[in-house]
Amino acid sequence: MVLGIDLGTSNTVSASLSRDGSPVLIPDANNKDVQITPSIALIEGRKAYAGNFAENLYESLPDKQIISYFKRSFGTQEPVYFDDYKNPWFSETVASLILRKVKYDAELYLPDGFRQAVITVPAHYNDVQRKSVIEAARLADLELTAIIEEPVAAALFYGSYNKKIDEEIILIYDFGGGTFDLTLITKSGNQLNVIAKDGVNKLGGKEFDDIVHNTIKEGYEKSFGSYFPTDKLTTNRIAKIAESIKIELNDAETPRNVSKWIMVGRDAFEATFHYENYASKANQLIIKTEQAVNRCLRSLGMQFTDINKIVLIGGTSSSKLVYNFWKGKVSPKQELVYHQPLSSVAKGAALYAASFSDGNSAEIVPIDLKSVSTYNIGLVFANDSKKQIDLLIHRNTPLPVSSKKVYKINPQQNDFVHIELCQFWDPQEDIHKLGTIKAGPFGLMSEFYLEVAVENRLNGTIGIKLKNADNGRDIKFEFIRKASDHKYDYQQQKAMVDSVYLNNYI
Amino acid sequence: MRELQYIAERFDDLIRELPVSSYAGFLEETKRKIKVLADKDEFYIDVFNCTNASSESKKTVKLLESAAQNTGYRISLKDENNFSTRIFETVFPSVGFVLLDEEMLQNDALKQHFKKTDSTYKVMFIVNLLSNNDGIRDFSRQFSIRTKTFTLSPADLEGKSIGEIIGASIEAASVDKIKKIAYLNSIKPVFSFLDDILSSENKAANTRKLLNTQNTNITRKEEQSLNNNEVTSNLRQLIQKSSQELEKSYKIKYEDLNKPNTGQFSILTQERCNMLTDFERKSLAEKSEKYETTIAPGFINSFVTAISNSIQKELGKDEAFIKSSFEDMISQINIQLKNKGIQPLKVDTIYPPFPEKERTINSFCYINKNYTGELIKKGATEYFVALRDYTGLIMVVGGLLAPLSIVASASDSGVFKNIATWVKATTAGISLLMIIYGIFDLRRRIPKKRVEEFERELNKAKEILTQESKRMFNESSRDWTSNISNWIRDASQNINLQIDRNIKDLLSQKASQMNQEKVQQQKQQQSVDLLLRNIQSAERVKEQLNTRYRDMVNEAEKDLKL
Repeated sequence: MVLGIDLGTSNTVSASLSRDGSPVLIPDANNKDVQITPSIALIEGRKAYAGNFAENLYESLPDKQIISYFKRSFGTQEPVYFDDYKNPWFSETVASLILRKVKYDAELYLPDGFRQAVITVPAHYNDVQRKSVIEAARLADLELTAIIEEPVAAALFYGSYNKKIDEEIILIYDFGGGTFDLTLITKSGNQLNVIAKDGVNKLGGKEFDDIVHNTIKEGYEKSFGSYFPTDKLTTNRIAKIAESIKIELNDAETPRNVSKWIMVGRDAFEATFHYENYASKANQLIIKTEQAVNRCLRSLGMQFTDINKIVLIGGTSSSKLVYNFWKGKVSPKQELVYHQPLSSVAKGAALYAASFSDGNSAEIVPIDLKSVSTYNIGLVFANDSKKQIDLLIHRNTPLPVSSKKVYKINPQQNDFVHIELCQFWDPQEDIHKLGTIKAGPFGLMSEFYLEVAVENRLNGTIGIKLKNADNGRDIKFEFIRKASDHKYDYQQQKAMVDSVYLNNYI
Repeated sequence: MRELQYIAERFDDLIRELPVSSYAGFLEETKRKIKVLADKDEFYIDVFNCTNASSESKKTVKLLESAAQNTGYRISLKDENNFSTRIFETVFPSVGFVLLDEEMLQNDALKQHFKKTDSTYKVMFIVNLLSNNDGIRDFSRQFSIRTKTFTLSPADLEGKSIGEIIGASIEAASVDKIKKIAYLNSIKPVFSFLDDILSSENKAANTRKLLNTQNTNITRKEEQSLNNNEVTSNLRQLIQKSSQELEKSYKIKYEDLNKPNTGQFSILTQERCNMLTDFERKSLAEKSEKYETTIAPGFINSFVTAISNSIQKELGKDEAFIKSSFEDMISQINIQLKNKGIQPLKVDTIYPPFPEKERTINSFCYINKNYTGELIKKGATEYFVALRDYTGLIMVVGGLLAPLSIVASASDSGVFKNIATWVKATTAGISLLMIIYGIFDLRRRIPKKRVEEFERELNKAKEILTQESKRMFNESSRDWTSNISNWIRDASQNINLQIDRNIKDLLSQKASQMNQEKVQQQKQQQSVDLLLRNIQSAERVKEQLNTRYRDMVNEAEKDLKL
């Protein structure tokens, strides 16, 4: 058996394959009607609650903070929570609680257990963020077979039941709870080719929630003339209310205002959410995704009309607002596909996991996945006063790909060599500094040529190798990630996760 | 409105059912607010005009305000900035006046508000301030079908009280009902609050119930993990092994120090003995030719002091090293204890008094067997003593010379006389030669013998010192290692005792904690069951309130003629 996990910003969904090869969702161990695990956790002393448990309990634990949207902190090396004993919890550690919960559900649901496990990551994730997901799986004692990008997983699922898409250009539009990704793919038999990727960091359902949240806050301050309370209980409650109002506004059959009585502390007031106001702000967010789509197409010299199908996936894509936006954009020749937007990623991941199995089932076909690099990858030599980026790997280059750069090193001038590794779409805009390669000291060596080889692997992660170009010998180096006041220590984090009783499982 | 008092009173029942809810404060406050509403009796009316309303509109507002004065009617002004804000505790009027001027006609936000299907307004008076009647029809159409609209002209308001204005369009009985409806509308949100609160409490209680069942399993698991035999046995082994290694290392250390030729103590002995170059001499009455030789007390003192210092230095090192070794061992033990949640060891009660170095040194560092020797005095006595070495020869020579002197004293006659003369000459010659040889030999031999004798005595003295030094080192080392072994054994025993005590304390503490947890879980189970029952009761109270409320609304709406 296999397990595919869509570790989402708002919700986590897991799927496996039935005996006939069809993907099926794995329900909650305590409630078979619940197939979605909210990606939230709550820590209380030596007990931790993940998913629905945390959601149901936050009212009873008013002084506890719901840890949510931790997926946005992947790769930051900054703690997302401090427990009662002042221990820092990193995004990886909190994610491991959700993964453990999902794993527990799967172990109960799948009588024979599972052998292959695949977790999905947003397509725009950089190397550090991808490694954070792998780390979270390690902390959860989940042996990963692979990671796969969310849009690619959705494409696999879409392709599995739609055989007539060969040679078509498909845009997978993944607008989730916290991230927006887009991927252009083509399919040819069992081969799935990713031809381009793009996305917008920190754009998802949370930004839609924030529109509602701000209206609630403004309404409160106007009604009572005092600042909106910031205690944990109110914050948790209002976050839930904002989300439910957002869904109501997003999914309204016909545009209408929504009025809702909201309890804040000991007071209550009626907040009115004007559809037009909300829709205008929400559309600005959707336009950002359109800009990313156009940017991606431009980078390939294509136009929107060249796309044959747009597949909408992700929680935010499931809203009528997003659907109607794109409905208004597509031409009659283009097809807007709206099929299982919440579960297609997990199901695709399960299909991908199955492709690693020994092929006992005739229904499971091996998948030949051809992907491309998400970002440009470059190096910045610290001694270079201009801080110029040496581009090694261009974005949208077929994976795996590797490239080298040679630097002339004079050990007499500097004991150590520092080279910064970075990923970016546009060097003028958002540069992700992944960390610094530190090599040396080189002692009594005379001037030599240092070769830095960078490999972008099929799963999107990056490998680095340093060698002396003169004699071909490997050079040891240290990779220093972003400095943080709280050092991530695997042993400590693992001990913390192991010591808590998660959802009171034994 | 006094009828609301019933709702407020029944709210008390509901609060009693949910005493520890995270909404307790909110429910209490809601009850207070319902009471505040119940105590009110005024007829509330909303008057809508825009912030940039025409002067006609503003004039009309003033007219309505003066019409409401001292009449039991309360007017609240609403514009595009405050129309959507409603706070629970205020009355939501069921009658409104819209001052329709050009500005109002253009105001989309207010128009949207009037379209609301769930509007609480039963009657809306549209005061037409427009220069023509074209816009009024379309404007009045946008109101919900649940809202009855009446169009008034400014003239209809002139010189009338609010009661008269309303009474002109609505029957007096219906006015009362409308007022009642306004109050009933004001507490309507309470039912939505109760739905949310009870649903949330219900979810939390059911989750708690589920978790509580699993809590019992966790306690059982922790109980099983209480068995610390493995830890005790591991720690005992660690302590035994470390102690034995420590003891062994000290035996080896002192064996090494005492090794002949290469041992540090042996080298020191050698060095100190070599420093002995002379003796103290004392004349003896019975042997006037000799001195009695002894080692100078100053030298002996410095010799013993040097040995004592050397031993003390080594013993001093031991205390620091043994204690630091024990501290390492204790910190290792403490890590294991901490991992198992056992109280770490306290050092202050572990170490017995460390053996006293001075006692060992004082016990063994002294000269047991002192050196005493003899040396021949320098001068004539040396010769006499030396002559003793020639006694045999002298006897032989004397014995030989005696017959010769007989021969020499023989008669003067004949052959004998010649022989006597020859013997005399020969004897004289031999005697002279012997005296010369003797003197020469004594002059050569006596200084040599003197040196040899001195060296012999010196070596003898050194040998005694060496033996004494060895004794001091050996006995001190033996005593010290035995003391250390005893100390290590005592300290190890103390550690074992403290571990046993700490484990015992933990076990009893855990056992009591487990018992408490079990009791607590039972209580929690009962508490959750009670909470669920209370929620059910609260649901029932809510339903009763809801029914009563619907009845009140139906009653108010019944025969309402608009």
